[in-house]
Amino acid sequence: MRRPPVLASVVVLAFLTASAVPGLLGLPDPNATDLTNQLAAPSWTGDHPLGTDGLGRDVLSRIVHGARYSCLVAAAAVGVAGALGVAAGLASGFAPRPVGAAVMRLADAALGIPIFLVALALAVARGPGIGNVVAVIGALLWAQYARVVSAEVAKVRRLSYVDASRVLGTSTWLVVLRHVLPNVSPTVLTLLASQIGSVILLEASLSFLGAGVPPPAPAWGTLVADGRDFIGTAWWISALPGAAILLVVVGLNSLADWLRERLDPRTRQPAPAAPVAAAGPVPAQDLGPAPAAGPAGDRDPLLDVAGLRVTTAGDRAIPLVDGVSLQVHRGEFVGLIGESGSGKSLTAAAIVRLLPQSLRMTAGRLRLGGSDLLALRSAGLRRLRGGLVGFVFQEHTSSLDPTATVGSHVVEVLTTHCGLSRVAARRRAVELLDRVGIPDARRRMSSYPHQFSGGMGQRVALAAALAGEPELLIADEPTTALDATVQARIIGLLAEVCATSGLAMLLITHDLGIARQACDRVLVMYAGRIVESGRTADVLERPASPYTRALLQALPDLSADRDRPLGSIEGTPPAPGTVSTGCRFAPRCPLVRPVCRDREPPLTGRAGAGQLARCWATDTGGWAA
Amino acid sequence: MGRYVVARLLQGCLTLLLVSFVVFVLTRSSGNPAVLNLPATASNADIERMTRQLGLDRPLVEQYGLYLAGLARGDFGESIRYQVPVDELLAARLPASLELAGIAALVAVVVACLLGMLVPLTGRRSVGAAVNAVSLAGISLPAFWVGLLAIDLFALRWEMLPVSGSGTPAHLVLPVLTLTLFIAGGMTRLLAAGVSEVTAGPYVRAAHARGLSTRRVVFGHVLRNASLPVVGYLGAYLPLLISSAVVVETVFVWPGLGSLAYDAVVARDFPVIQGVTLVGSAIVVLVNLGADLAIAWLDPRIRDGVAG
Ligand code: SF4
Repeated sequence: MRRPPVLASVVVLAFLTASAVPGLLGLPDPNATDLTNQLAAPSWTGDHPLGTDGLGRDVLSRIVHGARYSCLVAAAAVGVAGALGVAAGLASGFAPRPVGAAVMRLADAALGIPIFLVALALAVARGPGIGNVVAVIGALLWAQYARVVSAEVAKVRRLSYVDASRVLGTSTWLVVLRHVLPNVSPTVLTLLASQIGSVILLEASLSFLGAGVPPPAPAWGTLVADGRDFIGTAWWISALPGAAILLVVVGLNSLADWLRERLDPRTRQPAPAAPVAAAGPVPAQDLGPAPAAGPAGDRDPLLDVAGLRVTTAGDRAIPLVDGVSLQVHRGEFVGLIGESGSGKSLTAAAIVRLLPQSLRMTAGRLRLGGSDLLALRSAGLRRLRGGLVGFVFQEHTSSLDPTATVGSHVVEVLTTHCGLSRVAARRRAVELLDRVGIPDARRRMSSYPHQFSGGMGQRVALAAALAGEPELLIADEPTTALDATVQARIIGLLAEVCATSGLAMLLITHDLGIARQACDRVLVMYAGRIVESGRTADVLERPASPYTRALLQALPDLSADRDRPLGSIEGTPPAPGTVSTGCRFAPRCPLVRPVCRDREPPLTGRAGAGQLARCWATDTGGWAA
Repeated sequence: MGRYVVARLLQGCLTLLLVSFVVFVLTRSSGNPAVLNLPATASNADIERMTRQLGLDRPLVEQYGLYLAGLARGDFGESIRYQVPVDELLAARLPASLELAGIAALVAVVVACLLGMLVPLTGRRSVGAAVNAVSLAGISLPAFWVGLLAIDLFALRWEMLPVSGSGTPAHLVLPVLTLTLFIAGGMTRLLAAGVSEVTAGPYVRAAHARGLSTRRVVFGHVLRNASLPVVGYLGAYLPLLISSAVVVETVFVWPGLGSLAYDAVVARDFPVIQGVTLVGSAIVVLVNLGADLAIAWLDPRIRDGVAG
């Protein structure tokens, strides 16, 4: 969040003060001519600090007195436009459909009217005047308000409470006042603020052309026009009033920007920064335990992560992923399970070093297929992303560019990573789309993502992930957005594709059923920590950690009811940044004991069992319970 | 797609109708419209002839019909100052305006794209802040003032460029620069906002996850998506843009429609200002239509009628 623009506020405040009480500084009459003192240059010691114009009038006084006209016109015009627009928008939102539609058509048409020219025409027809300017600008800017307000009303109306209060017998207009206006006002306010600057410029331009505020009123546009004949001899007559316009408009516009940031719900949270596409080496940290032997007894895992930490940037450095270690061996399917906010998706992103700019990562070890990811620079990382590791994200609508064809997503990976020509890449892309089960792949190449169903889109994302011939596929909640039947089919496809090409898979999911269906081994995460790991059958049949057990109990039937969130465990996970010395699950744990609150349990297990858990109860009977 | 175009065309026609109606109301509400269309020296007989010509003795609806029919024939009346039919004046001045505005818009698009792309390409916050400040200044500068300052410095003080007029490429430099400042400012703001929204979005992340180079991500995915709001808001910016165009032409005495409008204001030449207003509106309608088509071309969802 930006700090409030102090300088801009001071400028705007000065502007408002000058408009309200121009006599405050005790300046001479702005229209008093002094033919003995024409074109006096600015001088701080003389009577005219900013000089005089062609008729010997004091420039400073004229600027200060001129503020009033800009302010008046802007306030009146925007007020008229706002009132008209809000009324029209509300009316169109609540009126019967055809009437509302007609009003909006009119608003759209009005947006295309060149206000400035109409204002000029009006000035010619009726002579210049403040009323003209206000009327024209007001009458033509209303449409913008009408548009936002009616859109907003439509949105609010869809929320049930408006209809609910109607049913309760409240009159429509009361409903409007109570529910719609508070929802609409931030948008209207930002629009208002952002228009004031433009209106001041419009008014100044009109006055400059002699079609705005009529002389002798010292409107700023008029002042600049007065100096036009003295360009090159008495620069101050034009330059200084113009600078005043610039200052005030910049002030108003930056205030409007600030206001927009404050009020816009989309930007109210800290802006999600762009992912770090190019990053230097990451500082190494304490090393985790040496890689344990995998199922195949292979001591050289494909992916080897140790002591991975992801924190927020800045002084507080809130840990979001805290000391995660995991290995994935060649051909192995590993599940990373956890509630949303447990840090599982961040872990996946950190593996390919693709974190938002607002986060920092450190790791003791981060090796993939023999190369040290911590030491890689951006070019090496790029070869790895999409090359050695393929990614499938949650929804195809979010992982595919809506303006690019489906085929181009696959083609660009092929040309980037496999060095294929465009023609060869297209041929290969068709094969890949065919491989993931897209019917009529050749024709569908030139379709766009929105023309695909969720399941088909996910197949495209898979094809793009496979294009670089990776050895590891990271699938981050790949089926969460899909129907249950499609879900099973996509998971089946993922498993089948990986198995036939010998790919390893890291499957991130909150769904135990999916993990059970697809994974050899699972890791359970809670509040940034691994709390349990082991073979899928062991962990899901004989959970060692009370958290895993709670997860299983929260799910009445593993094969069905996937809509049910895992959060049905009593209590909520600790907010990131909560300082705790003990076990992080202690506040929600049914087995909690005093030691749990004092010291955090290590991730340990019985020798040889291959199942690890982070729980004090594990050693003393938690295993069997 | 076809329905979309037809809908937009109809909307453009509605805008033109609205403008003609506003201008019509203007003339009828200003005392005797016949006087508006005649020089101050006109005799009573002249006024009577004009009254009949404009059909002022008939019912208002019929008058509007007559007026529209006249416009459709390109009959905007005769200039009071120049004593020639307005449509001839307009035809003579239009090319210069299109030249100036076209070149300025082109330069502005290039500048805006460069500035807008700087942020994702460098990935620096400080660059973003600088681009923000520059574009904010761009939309806050009074164009007439910038023009006068430019004349003062570049033409009068340093004598590098001509003060005003047209004819050589050197004459183009100052007016184009002045107009570009404003257009580029607005475009950059929209583009930068679009870029920051798009780059934070999931498909850009996905593109990075596929190992594409930053340049490929920016030019392949970000630019196209981020330009959608720019084109979309063009309509809202046009009215302001026209005000800049008119004052810039006036300041630099550029022989286009803008300076013609200024002459009309000074000479109170109503037939001319009416003609400029209507032609200006037609241009706005055409530009908006072009923008709508561009959006449909850029965004396949619009083409398919899916809300974008
Ligand atoms: S350590 Fe204690 S609080 Fe934590 S999970 Fe085990 S029993 Fe529960």
